[in-house]
Formats: sequence, structure tokens, C-alpha cells
Amino acid sequence: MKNQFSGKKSKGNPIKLVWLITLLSFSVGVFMVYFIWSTLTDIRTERENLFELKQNFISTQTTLESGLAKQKSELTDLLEAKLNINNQIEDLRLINLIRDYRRAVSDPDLFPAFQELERNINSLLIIKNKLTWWAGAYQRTVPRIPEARKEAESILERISETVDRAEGQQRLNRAAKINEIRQNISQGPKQIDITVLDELMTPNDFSIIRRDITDLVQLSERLHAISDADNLADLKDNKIRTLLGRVRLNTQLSEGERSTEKSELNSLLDEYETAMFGQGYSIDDDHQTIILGYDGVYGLILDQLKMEKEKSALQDEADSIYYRIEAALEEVRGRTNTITQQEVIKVEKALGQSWRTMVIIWIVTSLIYAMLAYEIIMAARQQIKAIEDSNVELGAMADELRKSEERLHRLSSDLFAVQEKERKRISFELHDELGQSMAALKLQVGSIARRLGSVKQEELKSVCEEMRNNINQIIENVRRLARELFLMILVYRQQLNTL
Amino acid sequence: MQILIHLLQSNFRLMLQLILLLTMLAVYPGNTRAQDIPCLHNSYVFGMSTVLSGPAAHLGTNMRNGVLAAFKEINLQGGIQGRSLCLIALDDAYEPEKTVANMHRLIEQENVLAIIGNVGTPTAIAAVPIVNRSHIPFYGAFTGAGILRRIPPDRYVINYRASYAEETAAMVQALLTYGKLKPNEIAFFTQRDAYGDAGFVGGIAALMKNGLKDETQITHARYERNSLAVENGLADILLANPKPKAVIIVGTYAPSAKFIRLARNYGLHSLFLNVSFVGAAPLAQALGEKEDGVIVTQVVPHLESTLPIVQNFHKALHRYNRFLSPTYGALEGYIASHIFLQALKTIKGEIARESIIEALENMGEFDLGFASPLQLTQKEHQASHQIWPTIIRQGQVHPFVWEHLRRMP
Repeated sequence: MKNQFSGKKSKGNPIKLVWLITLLSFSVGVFMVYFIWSTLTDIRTERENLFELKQNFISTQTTLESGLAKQKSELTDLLEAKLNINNQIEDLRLINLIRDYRRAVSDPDLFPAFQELERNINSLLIIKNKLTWWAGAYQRTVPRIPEARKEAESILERISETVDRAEGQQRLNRAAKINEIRQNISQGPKQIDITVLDELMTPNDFSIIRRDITDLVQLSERLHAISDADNLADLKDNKIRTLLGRVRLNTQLSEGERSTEKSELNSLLDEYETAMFGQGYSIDDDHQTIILGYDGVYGLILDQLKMEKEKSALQDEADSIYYRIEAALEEVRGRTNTITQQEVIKVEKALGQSWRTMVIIWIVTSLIYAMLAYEIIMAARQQIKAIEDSNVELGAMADELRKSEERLHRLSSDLFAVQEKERKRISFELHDELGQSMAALKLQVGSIARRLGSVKQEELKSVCEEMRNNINQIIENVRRLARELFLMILVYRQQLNTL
Repeated sequence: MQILIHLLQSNFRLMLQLILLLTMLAVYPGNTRAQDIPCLHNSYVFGMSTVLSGPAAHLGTNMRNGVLAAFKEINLQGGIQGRSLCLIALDDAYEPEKTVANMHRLIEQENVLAIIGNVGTPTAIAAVPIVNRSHIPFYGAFTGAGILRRIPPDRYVINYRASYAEETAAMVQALLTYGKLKPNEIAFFTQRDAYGDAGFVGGIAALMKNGLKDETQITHARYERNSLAVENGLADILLANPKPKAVIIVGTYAPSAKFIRLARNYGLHSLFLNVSFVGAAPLAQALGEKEDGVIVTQVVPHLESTLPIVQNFHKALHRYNRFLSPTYGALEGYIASHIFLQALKTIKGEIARESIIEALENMGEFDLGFASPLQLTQKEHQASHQIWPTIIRQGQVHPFVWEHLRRMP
């Protein structure tokens, strides 16, 4: 039934089908081109948007990070007491940048993070101001330490040299005396002057001073190694003060004593104390302390220690702010990354969707094409089969025709024979029936014609009657013959028709 | 062209001015100290960080003069490979911190080919790590310290002179051999630093070689660097038993002179011997005319020597600056530079830092007319081991021979 239908359809519309396919192909092609173009345009737009978004984020992030890095380096410089020109505009720009960033991200979830960021950057700028002040103070103080230290050390060196020389001189004098005694002894036993021996046996006071000065040098050195203000005070009030007191006691001139070295030492010690504890210092033995004057190594070291402490506090604060900034920034960065990522996914999705649609269209179109191709193939097949069938039928018909012709031929010859037969029979009939009757009639007509006038009317009438009967007979016979002939023609025609 | 020549001929004065201007332009800016040879744009540049100011300035200026005399001599002969030599001498005031800054400037900014003739042990201690790191030749330093004489030697450190240890060892050897002294009759008075220690260690090693068993038998007095507090040291030596017959001093001239004078005042009539670094001339000057018989060892021949190298030195120094009087320091600078320049002459192609070291190491054995030939090889980075004794008499420095110790009391 289907075959019959498709056969009918294919038989009916093959060219139409080709036209249909062409039209379909063209339409699909146009559609595909449009679709691909529009998809690509969409993707490009999406990508451009994404790129712009990314660029925006990245540039803001980079500017912010570089701004922060700059702030950090400025802070580091300040922590190293390197003063730089505090650029307030840069600071303001940093705050504005945060606001721009917030606007660019425009994510309400991130508002607290941005607020935190802004707050911390403000704190950072406050720290920076504090550090600027600190660095200024540090620069005014600390670079003076080496010079002051050098001065104190040079005084100590002079003290040491003076003590060294004075001690050496004392020892030299004693050595000379010892050598004299040695020489005397070598020249024979002699009385030794006890006073000389006593003098030789008394301790060399400069040796004692020398030991104390060595200690003083060490303590002065230790001042620079101390990192705690309490220890520093302990060193000053307890150790150096008592040591200086002892040295002063030893360098005190006894009544009538004249020692240029001791006077020199005393003035050098004054110089040392001034260099160490500043102009206008005083030693308060009652309260066991040294009251600092203006300047002096100790004061500078103390200031440095305080500043270092302050610096470490500021540094800690700055570090914690940095930590918080970093955390907030990390959150913002993470979030912006997520936003960007989402956009990327969106674009990727659109891209995937487009591809999928295109693939589906391709598949559907392919299917339609396949179906149409199938239809065309099937139609062609049907056509071929129909042609083949027609050929077979034609062969059979030709056979039939040949057979019909043969039969016709045979029939016509039969008809001919029948005709001949009938013609013979009709001729016989005509001869036998019609001829006889006609001959009898002729005789009767001749008999009448010869009897006319001689024979009465009745008799003639009877003869005419008889003659009419004979004519009727003849008409009947002709009618019969005609009917028989007609029938024969009918049979012939039927036979022809049958052929 | 002919017009130009004609123009120049007609404007001879203009031409002279032009040449003068071009010469001035070719000279390095900022290096126009009167005594230095100016560096032209194609000169081979050498550097020196030395003491040119302060109490020890004479050491640096003498050394620099010797080096410059040799440079001028070679420049007058057409230079090396047709290029002149010049020296950039920076003052470090005998302070190691300044030496470090100077060395960096010379190596990195001035891009010198070699450092030549630096003065002093503490400055050398600061300079040697820099030269080893920078791979730059450090040649002919005016110090006999052990730091410059490592075994095996530092590749970039090459010396001309004998070490302090060799100087004190020569003194000890002569005192024992010709002075017939017992080891414990020799005392040491040294500066409390690497320089003093180097001399002392050399002397003790020589004494040990000559049979000293216990080094504590030797009196060793010290004084602080940059101080004149020599009394304690002298007291130690005065109290020594037996009384030292000879005192080897390793120090600078001012404390040495004070020590000798004070010792004489305290009746110490021993023989005093100083190493070359003390500077014979300033010591003689400081001791005055009364002092007679202080021995100073030298690492160069006597100034009155007839050796060709010494004669050439006098000529070169005169040619360099006729107002300068010859000193042992200048002679050392001259001899060291002479050897250095001989090595440079052997270099084929571009003279570079590495090729200078190679050239110096390839010198092998060579003769300057000294008692023994000099030698520079890969393993031997000290050309001379020779010591020349001199004696200060009436404020003058005279040649001395160790054999004369026999005649001394």
C-alpha cells in the first residue's frame, strides 16, 4: 500500500522533490550562516564585555596594589628613618581608588570588605604620618650617636694612654731603682734602703686606675649593646657611676701631692662624663643616679632605644594593618575573580549552547536530507521497477497480440470459410428457393399472359392469388435469407470483436 | 685640504690653542692633581689607595712618587703597546674604612686594571677580600704582613717585598750569628696589632730554628697603636732578666723613636733594630743627631747602591720631579713598578686584569742585580726575599753589613 503511495508520489513529483531539496538547502544554508554569524557576534560581544570587565578589575587591582606597594615601600623607608616627601595627593588617590573599585565591582556582599579596606588604608596613612614624625626624630638623633661615641671613645683612649703612660712612668722609675739595687747587689752585699723597698712594695696606684679604666672602656662598650632601657639605667646608675666614683677617688690628689697625670686624668674624666651624660649632667650619689644633661652618648642611646621600641610598635601596627588589608584585598580579589569566572562560564556556556544548537541543526538537516535522499532513491527505484514491469507487460502484450493476430487470422479464415459456406448456402438458397420460386412465378406470369382473355377472371384471380402466395413465399425467403445474413454478420463481427 | 693646511699654517697660534683645547678635553675630569700623571682616554689606568694625609703620609707619598717615576719613565719610552700608563692615587689616611670606599671607587667607577702599591697592613686586610672578590690584581703593596702572603698564595695578590717575618728573621739570624747573642738576650717591642704580631712571630720562628725551646723566655713588650705610651713596654724590658742586648722594634717611627730615646735615658744600652715599615728617614730625623747605631732593615738596596736599577731610579725620580729627594719608600715603589711594567710588556694583545696576573706569574726567575735572583710564579707570589740592613748614624741612614755586628758592643 505504502509502496503504491510512494510509488504514486515519486511517480508524480521527482522534479518537485529536487526543487524542494534545493530550496531547503538554500534556506538551511542561509539560516546557518545567519545563525553562525549572530552566534559569533554574540560571543564576541560577550567576550569583549568580559575582557573589559577583566581589564577594569585588573587595572584597578594593579593600581591599588602598586599604590599599596608604594605605601609599603614608603613605610619601609620611614622605618629605616629615610624621610621622603609625604605625598598627600597619592594617599587621597588611594582612597578614591578603593571607592572606584567598589563601584566597579558593585557587589553588595563586598561592601563590608571594601569598608574594611578603606578603614585600614586610612589607619595605614595615619601610621605613615606617625612614622614620618618618628623618622624625622630618629634622623635628628641616631646619626649623632657614632660621632658622640667616637668622641667618648677618643676621650677614653686619651684616658687610657694617660694612665698607660703614668703607670709606665711609675714602673719605669721602679725598674730603674730595681736595676740599681740589682747592680748594687752584684757589686757585693750592701745595706738596702728600706724606704726604697717600701716604695717599691706599695701598689702602683695607676695600675689600679688602669684596671678601672679598662672596666670603664668595657662598660662604655656595653652601653651600645644594650637593647633594654632598664638595663641601660642599671649600667649607668649602678655600674658606671660607682666605677667613676672609684676612679675619681684614686685620682684625687692627696695633700701636697703634685701629679700632672692625675690632674690631666681628672679633666679627661670630666670630658668623658660630659661626652657620656651630656652638658650640665650631675651625679647624685644620694639617690645613686646620674642626672642627664643635654646631649651625650647615653641620652642619645636612650632616645634611640625608646625610638626603636616606638618603631617596633608602629611596625607591628603597620604589619597588622597590612595583614588586614591583605585579607580584605584577598576577599575582594577572590570575589572579583569569582565574578569574572562567572562571566567566563556564561560566555563559555553561550558558546557551548551555540555549538550544541548548531550540531542539532546539522543533525536535523542531515536527517531531513537523508530522508529526502532516501525518498529520491526509493522513487528512482520505483521508477526503475515500473519501467522494468512495463517492459515485461509489453512483452506479454506483444505475445498476446501475436496470439490474437494468429487467432484473428485463424478466425478470419474460419469466417471466410463460414462466409463461403453461408454464401454457398445463400446462393443455394437463392438458387434453390428464390430461383425456383422466381422461375415458377415466371411460368405463372407467362401462363396468365397466354391465358389472359381466354380464362375467366376467377380463374385468373386464383392464379394471381397463387402467385401472390408465391411472392410472399419469396419475400419470406428473402427475409429469412436477409436475417440469416445479418446473423452471420453479427457472428462474424462478434468473432472479430473476440479477436 | 691644502686650503685647510694653508689656513692652519697661517694661524699657527690658533692651531696651538686648538691642540691645547683637544688635549684638555681628552683628559679625564676630576683627576688633575698636580703630581699625578693625567689619564688620557686611551691610557692604561692603574689605581692606588694609600695614606696621603696624616702622620704616616710620608709612606704613601714616597711609594706613590716611586710608582709615578717608573710610570713616567715608561711613558717617555712610548708607553706599553703605544698607550700611556696613568695612576689614580686616592687618599685613605691609613684608615681601613676609607680604603674600602676607595677600592670600590677604583674598581667599579675608575675601572682600573690593577691596584698597585697600597700602603699598610690594616688597610691591606680591608682591601684583600675586595680584590679577591673583584678579581683584580693587587700588586706590590707596601706591607710585609702575612695576610698578603698566604700559602698557597691568593691568585690576585702579588708582592714585591720581603715580609716582616723575613725581616725580623734576618735580624735574629744576624744577631745570633754575628752578634753572638743568646736567644733570650733578644727582646721584642711591637705594636699591638697584626703588623707587630707578624714581625714578632717571624722573629720567634727564627729563634726557635736556632734552638730556642721556650718562647716565654723572650721578653715581648707591646704598645697601643696610635699612641705614644711606650713606658710600660720599656719598664717590662728594663725588668727583664737577663737584660736584653738587642731589642727588635716592630712599630711606627714616632713611638719607636720615643722608646729608643727613653730607653737610652733609663740606661738601656742595647742595640735597637727596626723593620723597614718604620721609615728609616723619619726615624733618623726623630731620633736626632745624638743617636748612633739604630739598625733599620730595608727590602730594597741602599739608595747609594751602584746597581743599575737604583741608578735608574735616581734618574727617573729626578725626571719625574727634580725637587723630590730619594727615599727607600720611593725606591720600593720604583722597583715594584719596574717589575710590574716588565711583566706588562710581555702581554700580547689587550692588557686585562687576568692577563696581568698571568704575565706576572709567567715572569719566572729574573735578575735585578741583587744577591739572589727574584722569582714570580704561580706558587711564588713574592718576588724578593732579600733584606738590606741600614744603620742610622747622626741622623743619617747608611748602608750596613751584618758582619759589622761583631764589632758592636
